[in-house]
Amino acid sequence: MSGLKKFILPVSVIVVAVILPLILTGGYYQHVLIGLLTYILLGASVNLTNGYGGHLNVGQGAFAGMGGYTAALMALHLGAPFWLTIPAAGIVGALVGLIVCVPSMKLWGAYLLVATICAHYALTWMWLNWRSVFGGEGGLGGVSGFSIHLGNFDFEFVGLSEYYLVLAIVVICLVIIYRVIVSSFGRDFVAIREDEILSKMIGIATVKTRAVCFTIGAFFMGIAGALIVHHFHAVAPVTFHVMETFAVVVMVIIGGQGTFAGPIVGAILYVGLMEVLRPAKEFTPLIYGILLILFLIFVPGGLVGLWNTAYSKVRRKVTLG
Amino acid sequence: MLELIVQQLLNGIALGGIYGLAALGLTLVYGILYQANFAHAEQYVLAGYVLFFCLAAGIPFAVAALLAVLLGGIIGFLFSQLLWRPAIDRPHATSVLIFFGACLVLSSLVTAFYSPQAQAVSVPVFSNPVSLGGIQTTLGRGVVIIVSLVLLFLTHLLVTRTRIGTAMRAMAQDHRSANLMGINIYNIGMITFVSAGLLAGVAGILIVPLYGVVAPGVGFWMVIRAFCIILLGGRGNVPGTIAAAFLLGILESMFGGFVYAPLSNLIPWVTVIIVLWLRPQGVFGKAIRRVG
Repeated sequence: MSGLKKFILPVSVIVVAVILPLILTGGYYQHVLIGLLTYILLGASVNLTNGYGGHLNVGQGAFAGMGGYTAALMALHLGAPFWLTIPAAGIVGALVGLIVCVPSMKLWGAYLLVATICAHYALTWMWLNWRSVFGGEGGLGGVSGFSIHLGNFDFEFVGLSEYYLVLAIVVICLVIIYRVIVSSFGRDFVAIREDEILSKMIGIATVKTRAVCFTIGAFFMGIAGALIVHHFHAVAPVTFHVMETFAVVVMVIIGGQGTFAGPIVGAILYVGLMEVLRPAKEFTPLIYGILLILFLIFVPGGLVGLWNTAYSKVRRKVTLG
Repeated sequence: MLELIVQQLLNGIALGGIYGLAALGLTLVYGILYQANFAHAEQYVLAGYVLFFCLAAGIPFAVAALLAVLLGGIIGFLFSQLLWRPAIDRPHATSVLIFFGACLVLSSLVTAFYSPQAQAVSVPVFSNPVSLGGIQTTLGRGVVIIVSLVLLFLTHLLVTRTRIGTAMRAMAQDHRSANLMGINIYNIGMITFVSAGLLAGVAGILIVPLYGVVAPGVGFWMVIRAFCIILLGGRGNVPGTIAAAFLLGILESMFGGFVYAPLSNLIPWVTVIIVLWLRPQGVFGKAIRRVG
């Protein structure tokens, strides 16, 4: 029965996620919860490139942003509904990720960080200055929400139903990410992270695999961007600000890089922290930085890593008497 | 037309001097300790703030400058003890992120505790115009160029001619072996960080008056540029770094003056991508022996 046992945790988490908005009612909580879901998706995709792949990618703002702008443009100019814009946003995100990672393939470590930040900067510059398309500082507004208009069938996903829709989309994405991680591709990513030279020796096409890792991560970042845009009905460069990007990196590290549950835990903690710290907004980057440093030095595996260590210690004690 | 070109060239050299000054400390830390100290530029911004506070309080420039440089050294010392030592055997990515966090912390210190507004800093004597055969420049710019060249020379001497420098280079190759050879890597690391901090302080007191304002977050883009410069100059190569800095300064100035100014911020990155594509060890670096 151990095949089914491993589903207990994820299923119970999903059940909690389904019940939660019925307990915390009200538009504000739904707003926060939807935000939490998008952070989880962003965190999971960053975890894929950074935690499992070992890259230092801080380009989420760029990829999610392009995804978001794509969704907005498609909705505004083509009248496309969300179930078209979201996959399109993912594809655009992936393309941008590919464009950024190809010249950066020779860069590792700190240089990749710099390259992704520059990509973000370049794209932000484009959103601000190419006004006719991207609307400059004010961005684009009036983007349709999650609604279906098919012939005579009209349905608006608002409020509770919007939450469940986003939940469903995020869960599907997480399942796909999970399948990628446990596939041979996923194991290749980790192999490259651990030792690139050895990986080449055993026949992994490192450059191609790294590119794929990046691209898949960017795909899901694009989807997250589209979700954000459809929820807010608007998009502006400030939505995908550099600070938000760093926040995602911090939450993945605190939760636990390289673990599946890490980004989820990290996102929950981050959103909770953000709500608590709302009155002290100027201190947020300060606190992120300090948390980042403390966790990296003392708890590199993040909270989930800590849990895993404690769990295995307890288990060892129990089985060995 | 020729005069315009020469003017832009000079501006570019001055810009390169600025970048070189800012990058010099970073190349020490990165070259020797392989630490990507993203917070390096924050050190120089903070030194700039010290300058601002001192000047506002009426303290003369010379004293303020000394205090600012000292602060840079102190921050360098703190970095080495708090950020570098605990993580000395961690993977590279971890230490990069640690310094990234430090960058966030430092850049937000001023915003949180003082004010996010840009503050005007002016050292009037630096604005005195100096002319070299018809080309106009200011004293401040000239000082920057001269100081960066002098400091480059001194740093190069330190690294290549002194015992400490030899120890540093041993550490750069393999810090565990260096430790086994009896080199006190913790002390060397501390000295490296403190030197880098002092250099950052000097950069701060010279650059901030040149721009006339100091604001939190200015450091961030300087760090990006500094990294691009180090990439171009080759890891641990002090003269190469300065050469790359001047090269980049000239490129940026020419591009900004003659092509399209707003995009000139992207020049460092684009240059890096192109150069690395063609020559992975940078313009001046030694050949990389890694397998790909």
